[in-house]
Amino acid sequence: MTDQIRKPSVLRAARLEQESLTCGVVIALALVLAVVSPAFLDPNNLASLQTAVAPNLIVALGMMTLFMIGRFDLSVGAVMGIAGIASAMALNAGWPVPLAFAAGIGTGLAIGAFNGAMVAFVGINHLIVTLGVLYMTRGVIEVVMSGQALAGFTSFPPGFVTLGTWGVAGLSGLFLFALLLSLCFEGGLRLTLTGRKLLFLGGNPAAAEATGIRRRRTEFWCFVLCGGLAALAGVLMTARVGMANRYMGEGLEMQIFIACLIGGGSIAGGKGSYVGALAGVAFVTLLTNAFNLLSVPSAWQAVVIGAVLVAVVVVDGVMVLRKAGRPWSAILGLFPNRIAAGRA
Amino acid sequence: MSMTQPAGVAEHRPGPAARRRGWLAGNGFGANILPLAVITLAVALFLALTRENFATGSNISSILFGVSIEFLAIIGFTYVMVMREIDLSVGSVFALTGMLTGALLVADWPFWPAALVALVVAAAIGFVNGFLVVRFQINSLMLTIGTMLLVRGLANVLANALGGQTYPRAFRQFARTDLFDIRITIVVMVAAVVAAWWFQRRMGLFRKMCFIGENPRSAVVHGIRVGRIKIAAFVASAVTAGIAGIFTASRITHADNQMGMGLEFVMVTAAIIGGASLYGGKGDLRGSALGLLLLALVLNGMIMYDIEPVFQQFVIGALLIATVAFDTLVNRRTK
Repeated sequence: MTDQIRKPSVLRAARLEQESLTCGVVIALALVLAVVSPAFLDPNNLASLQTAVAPNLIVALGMMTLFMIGRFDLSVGAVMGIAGIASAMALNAGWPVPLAFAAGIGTGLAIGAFNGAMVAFVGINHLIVTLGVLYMTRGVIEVVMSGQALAGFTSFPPGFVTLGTWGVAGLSGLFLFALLLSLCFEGGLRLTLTGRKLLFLGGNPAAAEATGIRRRRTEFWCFVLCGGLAALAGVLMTARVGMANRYMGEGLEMQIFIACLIGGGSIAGGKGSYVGALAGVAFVTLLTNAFNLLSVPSAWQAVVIGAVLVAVVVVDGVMVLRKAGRPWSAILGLFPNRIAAGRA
Repeated sequence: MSMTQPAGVAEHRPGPAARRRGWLAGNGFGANILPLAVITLAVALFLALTRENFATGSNISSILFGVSIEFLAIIGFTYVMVMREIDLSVGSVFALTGMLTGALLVADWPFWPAALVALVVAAAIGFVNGFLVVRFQINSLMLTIGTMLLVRGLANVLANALGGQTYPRAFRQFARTDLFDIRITIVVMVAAVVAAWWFQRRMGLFRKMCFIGENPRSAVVHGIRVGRIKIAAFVASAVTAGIAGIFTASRITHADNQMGMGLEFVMVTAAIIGGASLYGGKGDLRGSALGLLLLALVLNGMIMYDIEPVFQQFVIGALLIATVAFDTLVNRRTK
């Protein structure tokens, strides 16, 4: 602590350090892709990028909210799938479009409420609950879809399909909607008391509870929000691609998870912003796109995504240690002192 | 809770009170073994009485064979959990090791060098897991999810390269090796359970591990080499998963993308049923074995009752949540 007290930079004051770094990486990645692969700037590729970003961004908003309070939800991919299937089944049963839409969202809210109740009120580890729910939901999807063709439900009324396919001036409406939603969330986070409370709760739960923030209730509603947003993404995506099948959202939770970590979230909570979620999702989407454009086999994609996750988690760990005032020599040195081996 | 623990560790052996409690109950650990064994027996009896297909020799031996292979993988996993860490990469390491052995054999390597190379790779993965967790104080849940994806990706690369070729005949026969007319893995399982019994009752190392799980800070202060023991446990977890993977690869005879998928969650569930806890400080290999057996019986019973196989996923998820909920509630009451 021999450093002089300096005036914090603008980015630091706005708490956008990691977000701006990710943004820089995203822009650099896009530039490199544009140069290396001529197909990148193809209108078709740009359109598919938009539709890939939109649902992931909506899901990431919910996940980022949980990250802020030091929780996460691994069931989002499965929730996305089952919400799409629920609304498709409702449409098949002849329900009007708004009701079917609500049916999908309701399914997600219910699963989110179950997650939230188990984590907040029973006190079970959130990883285990949401993993268990992931398995259960996938099981239910398999049972529901067992008599169906692989493509699942494919015929929808035009009113429902427009929900996913509308657009303005060549831009996908879903993409614009997701952007608008994230801006609203960011505004809410920065300008309202509720938003500040979320970050306070994640940063120091004990102090937050001592000042009267109701931790359990907040956790519960954050899980409900996350389930609802995942369901929203699922229903919109069903409308966009025109089918609801058992493959939707498979493995999505890891992508969103990585996106949130890269975008400035921390497993420990107390950090994160929705702009960061946007940057993180853009990064992961561009990375996947790069694999496809450079035609890397899909098996290697999983290797790289896993490696990125490991790297991000390690960097996050190092940052936490640095914040705790541990010198670099004790973190990276050959012989860190032995006391350092214990975990808090 | 943490007040009584250091005394037990300082002695390094069960105190007289614990000894008096009888040999079956052990030293306070594994007091749940007897009820668990009774439940498992009851499930088995129920199935045997209601379904005639259940109590046949071939069904029982195939259940035991399956359990004994999974058991090999849970050995290290249980002791990682004792120290309040978790290793979710076991399923992927299991798949990678099995496939790597198979791939080397397809490339005309002799068996033992191939198996050894594969196990060294597994040990290296375990070491990386343990080292990163210890050095950077990373939450092992997060880290091992990353290594799970990474290693799973490598396994899939191998599986694609093999393209569904079957392994050489000698390797396919390997898992069917018999010792005393029983599958060798079953013999190993019984031997390992007995060894674990001894290890958990007599060895200071197990006491240290429990202590680390209870309170890592004070374990360090008491001079226990927390980092080394943790890294060793992660290596052990990966290596035992690798051995199980080699047996499984030999059993399923070809490279399969689905190999070891979801194994980690079966293991968490079985270990917690068997007396381990996400909150560390507890764990019992005997219990883990019974937990695996119980899960296998339940799944087998579902097949016997013609319940949709796709519903298994649902049941495993529900069991996972239920056992962890129980674990959480029990822990909350004692604190």
